Amino acid sequence: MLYDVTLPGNGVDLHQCPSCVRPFRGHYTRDQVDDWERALEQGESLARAHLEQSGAFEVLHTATCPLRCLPPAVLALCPESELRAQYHKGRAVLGDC
Amino acid sequence: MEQSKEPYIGPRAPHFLGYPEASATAQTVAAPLLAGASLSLIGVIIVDGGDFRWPGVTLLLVVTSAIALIATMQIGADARKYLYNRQTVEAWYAPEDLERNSELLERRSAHFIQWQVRNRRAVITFNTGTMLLIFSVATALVPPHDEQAAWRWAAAGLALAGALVEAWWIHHLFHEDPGGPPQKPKSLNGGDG
Repeated sequence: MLYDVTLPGNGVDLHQCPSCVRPFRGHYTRDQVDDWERALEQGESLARAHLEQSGAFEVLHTATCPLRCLPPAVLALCPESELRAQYHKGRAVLGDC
Repeated sequence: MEQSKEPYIGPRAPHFLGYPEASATAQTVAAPLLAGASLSLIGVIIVDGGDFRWPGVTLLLVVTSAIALIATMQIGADARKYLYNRQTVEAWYAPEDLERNSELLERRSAHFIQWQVRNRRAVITFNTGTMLLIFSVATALVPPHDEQAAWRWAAAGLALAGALVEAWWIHHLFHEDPGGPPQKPKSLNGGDG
């Protein structure tokens, strides 16, 4: 099959959830993390809308993954301490999404 | 039992554990070889420009290719310094140092993300460089005169087809489905357990 042929093309943009290690794909920037933080400040409905628009619900987390209510940009770009802070902020606004 | 309020967050790792090595191979082996080939082609075109149908266009394509491939090596080397595993941290720091400076492992998480961001740029320059090199080979093969024209047109067509396959492959790699949840293994006796 073609997949087994060694071609010089190089793939990228594959991430995995740091908690449930399910993969997801996409290119994310810090601006998207900032947008999420702004949405959280503006309240539950805007935060929920942002989650929807960011593709958070398209990531195939496990049913009990604690990070399933965070946008993929946060999962991809935030180191551990920042990720924990985002988790708690998100839970404070959205509860269990 | 009350559930812990802190979420489990594991160490940062590539989804395909072999990906960093594969990427490094492209940046440290393939890119230098292809850059060398580009530079050789530049020399040939400069010396024997009359033997090419479009020496100017070919030169432009191959010079841009060489620049992209050399950039791949440099950007890749810059990115590589951010990629290391826990063993490397433990090789440099004694256990008591790690206990005293808990930020060392946190820093590894941040550095892995930096590697992903910077490595992506190297991947883009590498893919750009290979595409341009194939296009320059196709334009170099176009016959300047009638001698063996059919064969050379066929070779140029083949190179162009290769470029299209390469473009499709790059697009596929950027959009490939990473795979859904693991399939539950079927029981041998047809039951559920």
